[in-house]
Amino acid sequence: MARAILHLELPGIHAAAAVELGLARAGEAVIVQRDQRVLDLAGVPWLTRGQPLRQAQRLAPEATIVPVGALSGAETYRAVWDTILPLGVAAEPTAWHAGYVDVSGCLPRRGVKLHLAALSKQIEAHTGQPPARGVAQNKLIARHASPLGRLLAPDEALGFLHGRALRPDSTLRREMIGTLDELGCHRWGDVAQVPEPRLHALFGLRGTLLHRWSQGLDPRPVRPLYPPPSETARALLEPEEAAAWLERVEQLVQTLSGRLRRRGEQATEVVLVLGLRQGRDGLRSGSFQTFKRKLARGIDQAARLREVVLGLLPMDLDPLDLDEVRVTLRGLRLRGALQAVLFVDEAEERRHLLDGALARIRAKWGLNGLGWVPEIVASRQRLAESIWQLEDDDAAAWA
Amino acid sequence: MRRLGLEAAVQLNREGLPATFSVNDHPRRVLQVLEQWTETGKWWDGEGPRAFVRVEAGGLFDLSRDENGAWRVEVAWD
Repeated sequence: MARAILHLELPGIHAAAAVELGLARAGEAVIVQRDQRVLDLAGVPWLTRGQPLRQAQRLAPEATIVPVGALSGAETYRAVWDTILPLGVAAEPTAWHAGYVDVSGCLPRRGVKLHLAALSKQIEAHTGQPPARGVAQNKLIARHASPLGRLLAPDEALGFLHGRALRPDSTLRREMIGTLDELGCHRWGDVAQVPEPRLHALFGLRGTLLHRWSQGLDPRPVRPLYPPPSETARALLEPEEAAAWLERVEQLVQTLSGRLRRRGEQATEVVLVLGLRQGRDGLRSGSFQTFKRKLARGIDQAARLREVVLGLLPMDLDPLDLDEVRVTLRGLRLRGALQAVLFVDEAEERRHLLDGALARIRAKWGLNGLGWVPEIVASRQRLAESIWQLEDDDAAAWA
Repeated sequence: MRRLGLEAAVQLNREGLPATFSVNDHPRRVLQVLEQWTETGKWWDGEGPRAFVRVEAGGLFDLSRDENGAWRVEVAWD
């Protein structure tokens, strides 16, 4: 059976996440940035992805700028990929906005275009923009096919590839393209004409591989590599609610714990995102602080979850600045599957053992016992202050 | 196929590709590098991309290197 790989690019997915989280308004211009470049955008068709952020700001001064880091825990990402996952035997998102699906033997015999058009509509319902999609016999050709929306049969794939210009990516370096350009090779078809020993002399092993790619040979498999599930709950705080923010944290904790326990799951990582109140026009600024903690043992109890979330709060937190509290639980897994996972993953097992040791120390010496464990360096200051507080209380009690 | 995921000590040749590697103090000489590619890794965990090399060394192995240059033997293709 011939392999069939679907490559997808999902423009608008980050912008939709920004709208979902209230960082931008639906239908208005929004730019999602990473490393001072445009990662995603909506409502500004004259801009392009990858453009420098400063340039984009100059060309679209009214657009809302959102850093991609502020979008963690948005449900949009999961909703889109949950639509895509059942399409094939393996899905490999290379980021939330792009990835491959191995659809070998999973496409209908007739009406493939209609099948994919229906998928596009489902995705567009979430992202607001149609995805770019291409199907071919391997990853390399599928990636070239997706911007053009091509569905390539095995006998036309090589001809298609040979007409495509060389462009830099993880397999083809920019300096290699420069050298090939000097040799008069601008397209994959030109590279296919160069004898393999010549390419090997120029680029070593990479030259041999380049020759194979130019012949349409790319054996890389689609590896099932899907982020473990997560669960998010968030609360927006009105200015008059500043005093009640701890109650909102408690509500979030109860909500998340309830969801986990209903499904019989446990979480192994807790992420706390605090949104700060500096926005304009009723929109929040995208100024966020993120705190994470990985846990050795899965948790589903509200009390334990509250303990972890409160432990993540910074010392210098001013509740009046708070605008949003978002708690995301990651690394969810079934309670019954815990043991199996522990013994497959060595690092996980070490964390499990460490957590057991911590629990024993805590049981024997209480909070003082934890002060010596290097694993909690990040919270040392907070811990130290708690210990001093305890000591003071003890001293007061004795006095 | 066996998934190993073991740390490996790797010596590189002039081209920067593995010449020998040893796992659990068992050295192997690389006879041929067959394939090379990059994978994204667990990007949702902040893990960077990993460079993969498929080598023939008295058996078929997939080695991978992270951004810090640490090597692992990922798969033994028996």
